[in-house]
Amino acid sequence: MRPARAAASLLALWAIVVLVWSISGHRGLEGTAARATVLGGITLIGPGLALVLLLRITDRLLAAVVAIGLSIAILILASQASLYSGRWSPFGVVNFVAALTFAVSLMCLFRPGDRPSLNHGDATKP
Amino acid sequence: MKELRRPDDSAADSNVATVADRPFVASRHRSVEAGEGGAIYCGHASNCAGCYPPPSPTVQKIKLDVGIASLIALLAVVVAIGYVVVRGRGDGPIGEWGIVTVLPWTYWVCLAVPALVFIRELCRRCNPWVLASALIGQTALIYGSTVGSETMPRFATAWVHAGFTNEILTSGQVTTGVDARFSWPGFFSSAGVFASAVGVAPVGLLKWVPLCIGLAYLLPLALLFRSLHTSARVRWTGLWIFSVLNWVGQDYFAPQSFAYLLHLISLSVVTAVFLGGTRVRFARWRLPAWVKPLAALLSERPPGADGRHSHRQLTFLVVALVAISMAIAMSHQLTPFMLGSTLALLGAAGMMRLKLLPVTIVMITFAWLCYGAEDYWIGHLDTIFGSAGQVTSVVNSGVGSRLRGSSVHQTVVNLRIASAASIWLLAGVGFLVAVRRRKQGLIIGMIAGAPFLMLAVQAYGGEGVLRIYLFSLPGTALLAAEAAVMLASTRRAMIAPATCIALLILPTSLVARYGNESYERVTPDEARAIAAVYDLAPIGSTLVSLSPNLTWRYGGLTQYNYAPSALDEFAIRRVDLIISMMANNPKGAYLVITNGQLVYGEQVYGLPVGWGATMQRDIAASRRFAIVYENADATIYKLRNPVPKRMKSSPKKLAGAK
Repeated sequence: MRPARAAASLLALWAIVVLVWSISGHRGLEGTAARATVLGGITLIGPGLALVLLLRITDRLLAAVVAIGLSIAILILASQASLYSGRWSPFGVVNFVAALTFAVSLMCLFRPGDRPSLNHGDATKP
Repeated sequence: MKELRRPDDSAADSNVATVADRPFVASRHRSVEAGEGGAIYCGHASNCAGCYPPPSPTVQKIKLDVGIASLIALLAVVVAIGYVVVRGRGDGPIGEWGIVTVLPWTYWVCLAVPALVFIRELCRRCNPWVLASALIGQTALIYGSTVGSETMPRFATAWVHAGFTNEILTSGQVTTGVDARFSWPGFFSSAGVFASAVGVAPVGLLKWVPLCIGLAYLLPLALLFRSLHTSARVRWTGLWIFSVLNWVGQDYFAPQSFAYLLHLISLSVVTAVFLGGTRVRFARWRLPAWVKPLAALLSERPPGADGRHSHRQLTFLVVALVAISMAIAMSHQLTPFMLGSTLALLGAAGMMRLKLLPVTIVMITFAWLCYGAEDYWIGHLDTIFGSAGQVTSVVNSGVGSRLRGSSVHQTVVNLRIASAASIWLLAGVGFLVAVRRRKQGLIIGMIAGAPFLMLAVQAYGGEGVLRIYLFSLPGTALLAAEAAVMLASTRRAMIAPATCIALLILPTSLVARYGNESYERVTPDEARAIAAVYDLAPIGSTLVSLSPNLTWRYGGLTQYNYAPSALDEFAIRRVDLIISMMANNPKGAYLVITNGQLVYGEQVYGLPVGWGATMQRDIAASRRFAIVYENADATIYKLRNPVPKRMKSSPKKLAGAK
């Protein structure tokens, strides 16, 4: 498995954990390092990292910087949308970020370019 | 083995070493020891003339890895020791020079170790793991002097920002009219989401934010410097200078700290990917002789445009930059202008391919001003643009107005000015060197110089000069590093003085950074007193503080009537003015006095030592205040109704009645 695909798989798994956590209303482990890592961490790096993996930016430093910047930007824009739409919901924003991370990670896992080709022979040629 | 290139080589690849990256100290063949399979080696490079037969690459690599791992482990232990030895030191009395007065000698030893490891590695191999660990350790220890030593989060404004975040969390709306900062609520709403995600109150985030932000700045800066300079040694020196000399104190729980992080990210992405493009052609123009050198510099094709990124990736990065710009525009009023002006300067000089990005940033900023910040700018246009063109008044409000207070406080302020002047001077030398060597000096100079345009536009509440220093620091740090490395590499004997200067900069930086700690820190007793105020005071009552540095408003932001600080009235011993200000509210009024406020009066206002005791005697003599809470660091007074005339003659009776 390529490192990018492995990272996308882990990211998708991380997002699933957050989405499953949302079923319980994000209760439990308040203020602990585990919660800060799982729920807080995905808001600061999740969607940006998924997009960076999707776009296959190979420069690691650039990818890390863009991932953090874009994730913070998405967090701010999503929370502003929640605030100004009159439907303020902090956990709604967390769920949105997790869902976005999950969706983009799935796209990263199932994009056509990365799937092993079944057409090994040159079957299209006569 | 790294490929060696000429210093003026434009490729910004981290794996490419320049001549400037050669070790300062040529390693001598010192010891010979038995290696693997009886081979004799000295631990030097495989082509070392003193070693025969040369050691196997595996042995060399293992030895190198063990050395690196042990250095990193040493740094981790030192940082841990540094945090342990300062624990609780900041909660006791702090002298006028700030946090340095309570730090033990063991902390100073710990602080020096990462610097020595950094300089040693810089002079030898420039191993990125060791340098990064030393830099992180250095930054962690600098911030650890307060984060590790104080129980409560420091700085009153951070507590107010926690109050704004709390208000959004509880009400779900932006309460415009309470404070201008609510017109840019992007940071507060996202901080509220993050606090909910972590499961803590916003106040719970305050303590560790400065350390996290200080470390987070290093990542985009590393990318920025990698794009702008080919020498790893200069880049790492620049990072060290930035982390040590970033004393402005804008890295707390505040919109500006996150906006600055996003600013650095945008700038680094632009310089990493979008530098280059069209060159300015002056060949056909008839220019005066003195302009020709500058025109020649501008005519050079800037680096970049290397075709490493696909069209899809470039489009994504542009969209990401626009999204980040929107986030900045919603979070902070000043940062978009700083980013826009820097990118506009680069675009106008033909150094950047994204010509429309600065225009987009300005449009987004004005769109937000018209939509989200409408409540603020209507009626405040004079505040925003009133100081346009008045450079002298901007400088005076930023520098002159701060040069007051006690003699020690003035010395601390002078130290800050001297440090800023020194770094700018060194950066000037570095600029000349970089331009002479054609090392993208012009681009770095533009990044360093663009924030100075603010001098002509805004005083920014007296903080304009501080912000100019902060926003120009990435560029000035890299230019200063260029000069420092050039000076240090001229002779081998220069390394020792350079190391001494670096070690002397550390305590100086701590004084400049935390010189106000005697009144900027928050003691546990003070925090308990503020919590007691919210328990005692009924909703709607008036709350009065002595000076602005009080850690309240983190709760009940809109439920109480917070009066302006009353230091001016107390300084001239006019308690009657305070009483008249407080007596209007039928729901009651409370006055909070803390030791931090008294120290603030002494140091910033230059009031005499012991003025607090005089003031409290005046308060008691007025007979209008009753003490409702008291501890070692704070006293809370409640304004009582006027004493009837017949009672005034016999205070004993009044006490008995109570």
